[in-house]
Amino acid sequence: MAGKEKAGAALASGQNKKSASQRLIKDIKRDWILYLLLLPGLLSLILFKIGPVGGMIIAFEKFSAFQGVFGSEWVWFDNFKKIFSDPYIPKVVINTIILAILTVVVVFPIPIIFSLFLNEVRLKWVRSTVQSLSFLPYFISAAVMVSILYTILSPSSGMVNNLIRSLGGEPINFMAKPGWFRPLYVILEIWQTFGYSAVIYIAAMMNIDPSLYEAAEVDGANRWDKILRITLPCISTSIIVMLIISVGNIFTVNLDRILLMYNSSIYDTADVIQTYVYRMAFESKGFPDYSYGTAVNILKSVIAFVLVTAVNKAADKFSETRLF
Amino acid sequence: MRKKMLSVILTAAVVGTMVSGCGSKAAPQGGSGSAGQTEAGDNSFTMFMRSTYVGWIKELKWYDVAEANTGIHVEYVEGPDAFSDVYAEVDQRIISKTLPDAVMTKLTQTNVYGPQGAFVDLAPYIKKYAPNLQKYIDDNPDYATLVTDDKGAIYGLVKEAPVFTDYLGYRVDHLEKAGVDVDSIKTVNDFTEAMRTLKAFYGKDNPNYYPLEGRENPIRFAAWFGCPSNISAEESNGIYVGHQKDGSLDIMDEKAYTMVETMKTWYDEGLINPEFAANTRTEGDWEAAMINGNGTFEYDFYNRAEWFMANGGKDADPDFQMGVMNMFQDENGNVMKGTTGCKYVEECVTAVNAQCSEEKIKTILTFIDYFYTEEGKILANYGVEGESFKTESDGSKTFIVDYATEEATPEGEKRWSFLSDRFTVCKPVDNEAFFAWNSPLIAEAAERINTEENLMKAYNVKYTVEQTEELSNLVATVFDAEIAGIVAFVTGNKEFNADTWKAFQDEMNSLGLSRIEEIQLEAYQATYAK
Amino acid sequence: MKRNRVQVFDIVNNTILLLVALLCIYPFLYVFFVACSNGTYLQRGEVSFFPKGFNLEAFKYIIGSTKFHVWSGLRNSFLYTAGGTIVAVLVTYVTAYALSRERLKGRYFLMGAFILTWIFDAGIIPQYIIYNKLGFIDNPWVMIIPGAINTQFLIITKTFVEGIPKELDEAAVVDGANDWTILTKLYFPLSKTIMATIGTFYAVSVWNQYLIPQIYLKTDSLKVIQQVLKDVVIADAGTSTAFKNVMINGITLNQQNLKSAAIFISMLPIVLVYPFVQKYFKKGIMVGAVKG
Repeated sequence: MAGKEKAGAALASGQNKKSASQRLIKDIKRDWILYLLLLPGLLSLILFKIGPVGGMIIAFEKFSAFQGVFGSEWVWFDNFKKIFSDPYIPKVVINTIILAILTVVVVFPIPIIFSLFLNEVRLKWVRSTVQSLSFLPYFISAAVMVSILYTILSPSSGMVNNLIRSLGGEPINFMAKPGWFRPLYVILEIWQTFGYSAVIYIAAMMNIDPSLYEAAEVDGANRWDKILRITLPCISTSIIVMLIISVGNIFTVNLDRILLMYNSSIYDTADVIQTYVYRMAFESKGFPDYSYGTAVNILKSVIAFVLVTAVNKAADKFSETRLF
Repeated sequence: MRKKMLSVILTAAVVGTMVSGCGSKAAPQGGSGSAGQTEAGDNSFTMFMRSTYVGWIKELKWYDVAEANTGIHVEYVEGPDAFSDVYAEVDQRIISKTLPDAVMTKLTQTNVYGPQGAFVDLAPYIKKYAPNLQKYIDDNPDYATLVTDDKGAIYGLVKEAPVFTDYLGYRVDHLEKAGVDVDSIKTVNDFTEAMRTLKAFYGKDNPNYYPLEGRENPIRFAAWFGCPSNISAEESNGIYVGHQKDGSLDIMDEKAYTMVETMKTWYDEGLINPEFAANTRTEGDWEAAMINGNGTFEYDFYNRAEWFMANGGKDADPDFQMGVMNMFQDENGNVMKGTTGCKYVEECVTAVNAQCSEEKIKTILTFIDYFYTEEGKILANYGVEGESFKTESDGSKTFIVDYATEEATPEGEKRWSFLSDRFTVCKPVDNEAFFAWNSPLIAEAAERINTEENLMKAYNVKYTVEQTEELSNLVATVFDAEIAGIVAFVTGNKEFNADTWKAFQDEMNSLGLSRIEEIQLEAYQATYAK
Repeated sequence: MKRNRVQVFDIVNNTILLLVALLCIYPFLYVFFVACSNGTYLQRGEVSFFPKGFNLEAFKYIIGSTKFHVWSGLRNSFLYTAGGTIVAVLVTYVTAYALSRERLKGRYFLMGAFILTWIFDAGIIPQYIIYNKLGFIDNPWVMIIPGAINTQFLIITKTFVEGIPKELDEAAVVDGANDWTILTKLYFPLSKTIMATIGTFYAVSVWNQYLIPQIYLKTDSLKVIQQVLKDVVIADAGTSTAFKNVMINGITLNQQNLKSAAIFISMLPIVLVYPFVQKYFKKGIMVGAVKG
């Protein structure tokens, strides 16, 4: 059957365009059930995935809510030029990058250390309990996580401030201090993701050949030697792949979390590109600036796209593991 | 064959769900979200409004009488609670074409979206269907200037409001117990001293006690220091548009430096609630704190002192007694005038969807016009004769229902209420009735404070479409940045000294403050040229 | 001697890890303790490791009150999650099946389009403009239809489907089966695990959605529990939605009780189903993240 396909394709390419489309119609007629099955996915692709890409043309307009995409004034690159004179842009770009770097540097090593120790646990119930519980926060929504943060850190009644007060200190209004935003964001990130990442490392450790450990024991290696000389090197591929992925995602922040955590008094540290774009469109106190917001986002997406593609190449080269 | 049929049905079902999702735009979704316009000619219309206002309307006895008298029913579509969200939703309803027949919006939006075709030009219809409203417009040239654009079109009707300033409410019992004489507090410095005494007295047992309590924006004290934003034919300082009363501040004034310095002192010594100073204090927390005795002073809406008395103060503490202080004076004994709102509220504007039929426009205007008739004015300001008011022999009207009993009815219950500062319907205001309808506490304070020497006059200024667009986007950015900057200074997140203050001023100018002042001045000169 | 040292390490290691695990879930427990404690003890800051003055009035109060929309939020979240998961699993699987057939013209092109639109983020504004045109504003279907295909899950599913031996369907074709029979009779039964896996991930992602409903669902009666939580716990502004202290049956419920109860209720469904679907979660991570 595959052979017939090829022959058909070769035949089609030899003929003119019209017969190629005729050929497609013939195909669809023959495999109409298959094409019908594709239809929902095709619609989804066109409407919800390609559609928004087309919607990006408003970045070249002075888009007015009432006049719509086709009725608004065309301004070409004005919105993109504005990016470079907007005093806010450097601030949000720097905030985005700082947050991403912190996430990589602080959050990244924790699940590795955690899984190295978890791997040493021999008691099955301890192992599964610890893994299950640490994995749970990954499935809890940002709204719940941030709400809990508010409750625990409330200056008047939160647990942390009660403790500070009983130790004779002044209560701290954590959610309104720009200096606290990044640490709190990172703590939530750790809390939410380290159990998840650990699952991946643990899986890699399971694949290590037990004979390696046996050989090491014969050589008189102790537990630390085994961790450092066998386990760690054996999962290094996974580690590097994970590192590459997080570098690729440097422009991806947890938007839900920031939107729920931030307020105008901590914009200095908490305002990132995505929140800035969000506010321009959906929380603007003036007129929503859809066009400029889109322009800013396009610039971000282009940079992120290049980064992710490059990183994917790197990952492929390194371990034949690709993201897509 | 049967199998084929089955596959068609299943696939069609999956596709169908998707298509129905896309196609159900016009279908009402149930709940109050159904924004579809009502059928013409059935003597009713739909109107989008801030949910708080809809809640008030549902409690008003006189409103029901008005609907009965006009035979017109309004179906309200509830918007969000927070102001900025309300207008953001208007934007979104305009883009998604889900505006109801009428909408409560703001003047900047009708100025911009009106000429684009989103709202009806009401001018010809008012002539035709609303004679009383037309007369009001003719009698009030300032109103006419404000609502009419350069082509003579009227896209939105602003609402008239009583003029008043914020009152500084305080716990009379607190001051007595702490041994502070209220009459000795004349200047802001006296006030700071009084707060120190109170903090020492109440703060020693109560770690949550802060003499000055408040909610939301802490940039509300500029008038105390003599540095509110202002406008005149010669100059305009600070963000004036939309901030004639609340959030009024001119950061270029050297007194603004004193203000920040003083607020910083309050913050450092625990005299002001730190969450309030940080702009994160919510209304609910503030109310709870005042009622539970965690605060002594509040500088807020004129009748808030009464509100705390009626909403739990007495239950929390039998001694609970609020009072209203006099305006502050400067070192030379001159009154520090309070900022006031404008006569016409530009944030509460009624506009009509351009999709409405003439029949529908007629219904909407007939309903609004009713409140400009003599009968309608009396109803909205005094209620029904014999039920809520009586006419004295000299022709004046007095209420026969008690303010305290009526306003204390539980939320959601019908009552007589004439708080005309609230937006309920687009109507003129009877100032006499407004101040007569108050508790003795507030009525006394109003008489004492609402004098010309205590109040700064606020001006409605007319902006062109281009000015509106530029201004509203600039103000949105600069105002938030001003608050954030001052909060950072006050709470110590940023070092405060002459240099950092200068840098802050420069930053605001570069963000657009100086441009805002320029536009404001131009517009003022154009509005008041005659 | 050596044996002893090993044991000490094990004990210390096990204890520390168990403590870390406890630390992970302690905030959830704390919220529960606060929710079911008496408000008077809370005000004095006496609740930290156990509830004090145990009662469930806070839960009853917020579920019973229509003012805070906690109940309608939960109901909506359930409906959207159920609908969204079913639609997503079916559409994703069927699309993966179609894209894995060699007979399908342009399948590389289509897959490429999926991947490109996945890594190139058009952003929330253009999405809003298009969804608005499709009528999704304030329309509950926005929670169910647009998320039907997650490209990552599509890739995972497609990889799985491609792993099913071709000989099986070739045999079926000989027996006269068409795509529909092959899909339903042959592939569905073989793919229960992968469907359960992507299903759990879809379900969790719909349940936890915040941004999409926040942008599109404006009417209170359509809001999801995550938005309700934001309104009552985080924003807490405005007199109509803010929690006030109440006394019920002689028990003081303060804002903190009520907020905690709201938080706990909104995470309860996930916590309850978690033990049963955990293995699918883990499986999902494996197939998604470590293919090498």
